[in-house]
Amino acid sequence: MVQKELLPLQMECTMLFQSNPYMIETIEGIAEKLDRTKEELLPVLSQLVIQGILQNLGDINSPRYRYKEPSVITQVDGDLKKA
Amino acid sequence: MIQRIELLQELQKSYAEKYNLSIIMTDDNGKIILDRVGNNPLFNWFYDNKREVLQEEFNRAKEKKVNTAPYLYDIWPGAYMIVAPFHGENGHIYLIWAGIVIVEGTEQLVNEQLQESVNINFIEMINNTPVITHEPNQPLMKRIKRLAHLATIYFKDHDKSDIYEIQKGLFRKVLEERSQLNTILEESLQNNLEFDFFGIAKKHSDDHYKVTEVFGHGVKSMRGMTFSHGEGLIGRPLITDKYEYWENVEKDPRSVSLSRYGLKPKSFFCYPLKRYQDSSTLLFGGSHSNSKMSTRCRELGKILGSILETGFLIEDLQKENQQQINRLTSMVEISKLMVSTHDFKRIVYILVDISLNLMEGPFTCVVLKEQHNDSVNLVSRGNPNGNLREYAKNVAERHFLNPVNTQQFEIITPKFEETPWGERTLECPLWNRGRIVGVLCVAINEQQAKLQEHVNFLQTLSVIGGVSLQIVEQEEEELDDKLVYSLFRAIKQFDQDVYSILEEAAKIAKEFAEMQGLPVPVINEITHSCLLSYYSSAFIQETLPETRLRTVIDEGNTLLNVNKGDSWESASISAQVFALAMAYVKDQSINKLEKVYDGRLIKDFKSFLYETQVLEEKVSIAETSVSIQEQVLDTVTSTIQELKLSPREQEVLDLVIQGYNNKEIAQQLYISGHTVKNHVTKIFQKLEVPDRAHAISKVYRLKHQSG
Repeated sequence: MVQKELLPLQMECTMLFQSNPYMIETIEGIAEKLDRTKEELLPVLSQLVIQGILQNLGDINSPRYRYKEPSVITQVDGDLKKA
Repeated sequence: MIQRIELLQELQKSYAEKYNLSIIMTDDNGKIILDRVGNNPLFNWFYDNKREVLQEEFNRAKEKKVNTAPYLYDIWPGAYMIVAPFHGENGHIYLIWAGIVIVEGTEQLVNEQLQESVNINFIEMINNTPVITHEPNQPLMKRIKRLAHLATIYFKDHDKSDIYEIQKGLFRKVLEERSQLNTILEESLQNNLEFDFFGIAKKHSDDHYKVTEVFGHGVKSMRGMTFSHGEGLIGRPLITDKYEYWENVEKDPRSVSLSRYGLKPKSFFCYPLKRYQDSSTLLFGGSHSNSKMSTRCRELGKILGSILETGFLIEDLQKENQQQINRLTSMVEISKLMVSTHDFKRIVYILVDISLNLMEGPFTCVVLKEQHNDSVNLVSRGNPNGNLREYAKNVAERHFLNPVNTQQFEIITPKFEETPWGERTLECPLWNRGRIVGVLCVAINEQQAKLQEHVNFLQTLSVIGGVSLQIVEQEEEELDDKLVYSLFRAIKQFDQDVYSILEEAAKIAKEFAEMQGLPVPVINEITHSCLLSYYSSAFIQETLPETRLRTVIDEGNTLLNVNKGDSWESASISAQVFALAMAYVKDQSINKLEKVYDGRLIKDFKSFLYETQVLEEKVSIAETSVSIQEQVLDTVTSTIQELKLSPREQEVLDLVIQGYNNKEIAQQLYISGHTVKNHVTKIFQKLEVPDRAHAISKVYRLKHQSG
């Protein structure tokens, strides 16, 4: 679980990738964009990968992150019944 | 050093004079604190001439401490000092030395011994020296014991006020922003000599605590020590959750855990500090030399504990406050992004991602309701343990099938629900001005400590999300509107007749749909379908893919060509109205449709057509003979006055006859539509007629009869 203090940074990170859904970026690149240190970003990025918001296109040693769109189901089947 | 000395000096002087003694006071190391007072000749001679002899005795006396009862200390055989220890400030022990006294019958012997050592005859001095016996309960001993008792009481009172002073000082320090924990503990060590060390242990893991900071001497090796709940002396208060204090610790087997880390205190205390949101911290401290701490010192330990608790609380609250500010800043940024984006999909993604960030549960999703039909879409993230489609269906049934009253604000309050597979969720409706766009559903992480805070955040997020989604939806509709009317105007360029027919169809369909009380989006859908029905369904699908126009046109055209009423029963209301309007503009009749289906809608449409025709006829009369109408109306007015109606009802009936509808009558008379309706109903009752047409007819009949 990400520490409470990191939540705003986690949200900031999410919004960065959401605003640039085709961006593929290294930790250094993200650190520069958000004006943060790598150490601050590491736990947040790991958490975002666990949550499925980001995907790591690189490997453990040189990760490269990209936004992963949520899953979309159109027309949920079945008739609705009144409560 | 004794600070408050005046009263003690007075006591010293009084006792010395009264009992012919000389009295001094030393600390427990033999250092003279209060100088000699009194006229005991033997004592004074030695004090003035052989101080080192007495000092040696004072120094040696510490070996006999620490009794609280007075005792006789022999200087030479037969010659004694009465020594009475008492508790002074900071828990220190002080000694009263009162003397010299001689045991009854030993005067000669004492004189001989003194003469031998200093070669002076002391007999006269000895004769003026107070005498004691060997019997217990010596009166002189009792007196000096009393003096020690008074001195203890004196310091106790001062200790109390002293504690308040210390307490005040510590509080001030804690409240000062720059004052740190180590400053407070270090200063406390300097000011209170009974304490030799302090330490702080913090929660390290679920079951273990770790010593993070130590202050004082002989305690450095403790830093980094880990211990569990209930382990040894130090772990015990974590179970009892209370201040604990131990004396003679070196004899307590539970002190092994401390001695393993090189700490061998004689007295020890622990104070579990309650922290904001249950993150416990432990303060401990003690003495390497005192097996027993004074009450005052123990109290001071407690005070120190509660003051540190306050300090931590302030620190925690400041931290919490900063976190809230950060979170609010994030919320502002997210809100700005949501209201500024024109992309419906992106707003939904923000809702899904941010709520997952926040709650860290197994999944989040947004269940979306299509605007013009009952279709439900689902956007989700995470790995639910069950079938998300099934849950989405439940959500839709709960939220979309029960119409929302705009006054029922509680409907927009998030509610806790459960998935079919038993996961707890929070459902936040995305709602604005009586219309629900969707529901943000967030599975709850049961380990989240700040659930209520997150609920508030999610509620705000969903309110802003709901408004943003509707704004984007409206923008998209406005774009579609423009496109529909452009395509319709294009028809005029190459087929004027078709253009006019479609325009009329759209007009009739719109008026009828309004009369039916259909919602605005449905009315627009029907009108647009009429306007664009000239185009092929493939073209409409390609040009306006996000709308239902193609479906309505295809379904409506099918209704125009079927031979059975079953299709009508199952068709959407949009398609039915479309078919009725198109049939009427083509044939100026709906007889063909009536033969296939005779449902309520067809009957209503016929009534609608009939009313429209009547209105047109009235318009034509009004246009052709204004003067005649005025003459007729004059005569009708007099007839109305003859009826048994109230003046207001007469006014209303007059306007009914002039062809005004209820709304127009309300505007004319400055009354509500509801009141007009009431008046009209009463008029019908009094005239014994079923409707307007009969009422008008009756008034004219009466006029002819009277004429």
